Amino acid sequence: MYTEGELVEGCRKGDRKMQHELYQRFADKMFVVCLRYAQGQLEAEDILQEAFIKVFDKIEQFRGEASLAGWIKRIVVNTALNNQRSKLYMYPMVDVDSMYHIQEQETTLSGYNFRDLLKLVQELPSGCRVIFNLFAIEGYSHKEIAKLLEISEGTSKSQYARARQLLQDRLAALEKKGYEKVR
Amino acid sequence: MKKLDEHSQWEDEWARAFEDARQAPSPNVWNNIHAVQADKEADKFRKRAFFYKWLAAASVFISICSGVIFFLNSGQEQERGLAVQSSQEEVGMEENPAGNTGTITPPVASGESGTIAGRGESSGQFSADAPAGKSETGTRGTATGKGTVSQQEEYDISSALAAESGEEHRKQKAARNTQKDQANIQLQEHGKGSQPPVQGGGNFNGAGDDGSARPAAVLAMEENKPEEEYNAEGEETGFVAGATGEVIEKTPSAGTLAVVLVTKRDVVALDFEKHTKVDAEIRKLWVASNFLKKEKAGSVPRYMLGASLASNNFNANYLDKSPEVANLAHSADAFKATSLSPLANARVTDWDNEQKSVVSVAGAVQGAAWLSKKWVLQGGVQYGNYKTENTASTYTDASGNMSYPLHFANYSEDKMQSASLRTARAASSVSATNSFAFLSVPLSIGYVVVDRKLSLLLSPGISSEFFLSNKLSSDDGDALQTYTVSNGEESPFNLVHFRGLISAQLFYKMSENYMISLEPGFQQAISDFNKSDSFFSSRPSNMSIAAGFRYIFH
Repeated sequence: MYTEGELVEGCRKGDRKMQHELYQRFADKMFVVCLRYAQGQLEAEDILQEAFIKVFDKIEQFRGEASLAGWIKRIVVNTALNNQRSKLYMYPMVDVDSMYHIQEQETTLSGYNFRDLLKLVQELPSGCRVIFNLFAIEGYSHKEIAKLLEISEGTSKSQYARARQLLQDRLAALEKKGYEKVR
Repeated sequence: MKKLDEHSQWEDEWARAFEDARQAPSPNVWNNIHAVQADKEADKFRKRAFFYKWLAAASVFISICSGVIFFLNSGQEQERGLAVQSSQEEVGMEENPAGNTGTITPPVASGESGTIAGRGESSGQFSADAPAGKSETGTRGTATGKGTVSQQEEYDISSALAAESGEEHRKQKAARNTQKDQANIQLQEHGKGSQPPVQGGGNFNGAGDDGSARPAAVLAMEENKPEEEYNAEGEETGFVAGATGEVIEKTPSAGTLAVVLVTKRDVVALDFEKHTKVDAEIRKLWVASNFLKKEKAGSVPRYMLGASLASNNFNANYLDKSPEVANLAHSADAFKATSLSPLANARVTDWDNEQKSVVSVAGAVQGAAWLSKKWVLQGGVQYGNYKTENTASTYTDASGNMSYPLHFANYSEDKMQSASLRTARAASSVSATNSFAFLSVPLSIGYVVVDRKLSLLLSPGISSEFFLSNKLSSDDGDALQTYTVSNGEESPFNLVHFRGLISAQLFYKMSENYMISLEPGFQQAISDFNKSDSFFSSRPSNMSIAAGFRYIFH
């Protein structure tokens, strides 16, 4: 079992074995990140492939201030964003200063595994999906998302509101279905 | 109510749900990554090999040039005539068998290394009084002067004479007689412009021991006779050109003072009968023309015309103008979606397309004018179609299902066709040949480093490159539609850009007027080939080696 330092050093030297070792250690987790942003497995694999190529190219720049997993994840997310960037213009953006959540009752996620939730996320429209991932899961603020995607803050908020509404509706529908099934 | 811009428990649940989520990708992902890394490594080695290859070629070229220059410079030593002496000395007078008195003193060379080749560069002095200058074939003349024999050591006549036995001497004399016509002894022009035929010191054995390149007869002056010119072969007088070590004899006649022994170091006047040294002034000296170089007056070339064919290694040196962005998506994103069709969901990956030079051929006609002996102004016109192999990302036209190279389409909006998500994946990297046609007008100033039979010029300059056309095509016709760009508003390339150039020109003079040439050179763009509003930058470079011929006008 190699330490992170050994893996980084080996990758810097271009050691293929170390590169494979690094890939094997983080690929599974990063693939889920890619699946969240992509619309399907193939697209997610393309993003993952591109991201790891960048990881090996830029491994010299890793200074060790943050964790290796966090650094790799940032590259994966940026790669996914670049891949999805053009799709953000496919939908009209509504500029709002602030929007309020209108539905008080929020569906719990405890009954779902990540694969179910992943499916719901993948069904979202591209723009909504990206912003939902960035806000809800990666933890970015709307201000940070706006800067990242070169959109307005209002656009980010409106897209997120739409994503949230769609997910809530889908979860509610699933619950209803499950309830009816039980019945 | 909560604001949507605040994180709530709901968002936290989502984040927690994916925190430890893992799913294995297909094995193809690593296989593709591995293949890309292997390609990059191989490319690194290729670039290194390319660098070392050119370094080796440059080293060989420099070594050859150095050897040629060394050879030519050392060869100059061998072209000098018979050295006589380098310092002056009075020789005592001895009784003249003919009863006449007079001095026949061997000439003195000043010690300078003038050339008998008579290139006009010689500074050798026959004596202080003798004018220096070029020699000219086909004319007669004398180099006159006074001097005395150098006697740095006691002159051993016996040894010098013993160098050749009488028998050998007779044989050689007979051989020389038969070779008289071939000796082609030339006389030096009298007076101004005369070149001292001999020079001081040094080794003049380089011409070989067959005597064919050694100075010839030294004619003893006859007293009471006006100074006369004798013909080159001394036929009238019976003198024969002699080689070093030869005693030049003559049938004695009235007034003959002495004969001359030509040795390796001295031209010594000897008593005709006793062969002892006499104090005699040698006033005329003929020089064998074997080592006289024929040169016409005004031999510096004036103009030159020629043509050549060059093998080129061209590189367009494409670069993304936004180095922080690694793919085309950002550039494509810069377009406003003004058309009804959304932008193509093209599969764009690496922007830094691989560009590999392919050997291309260019033809040129050149002209040159000599500004001085050392400086040459050169110009010409050259046409070339330069090729590179590129890996281009593409987009797919859903209507025709054809792929277009995004990069070289210059992101024309009308080329960004709509494509469904299904067909978008068909857009992939293709290998394409990217060829550029240019008309070049180079102008350079050449410095003549070596001017011999093999000459070397170094020529820096500037070239105006007129863009004619660009074509992107693929051998696989199904993968890529041929895309051409010509001059005009639509073109992403400037009509003219400029390149700095440097070349080393090696010329071999086949005859007075004809030369063949070998010219390795390098060009680098000093202005942008691309237009300022294009999405990439390009400053081409070109390494070439040209072979051609030249005609010289004197």
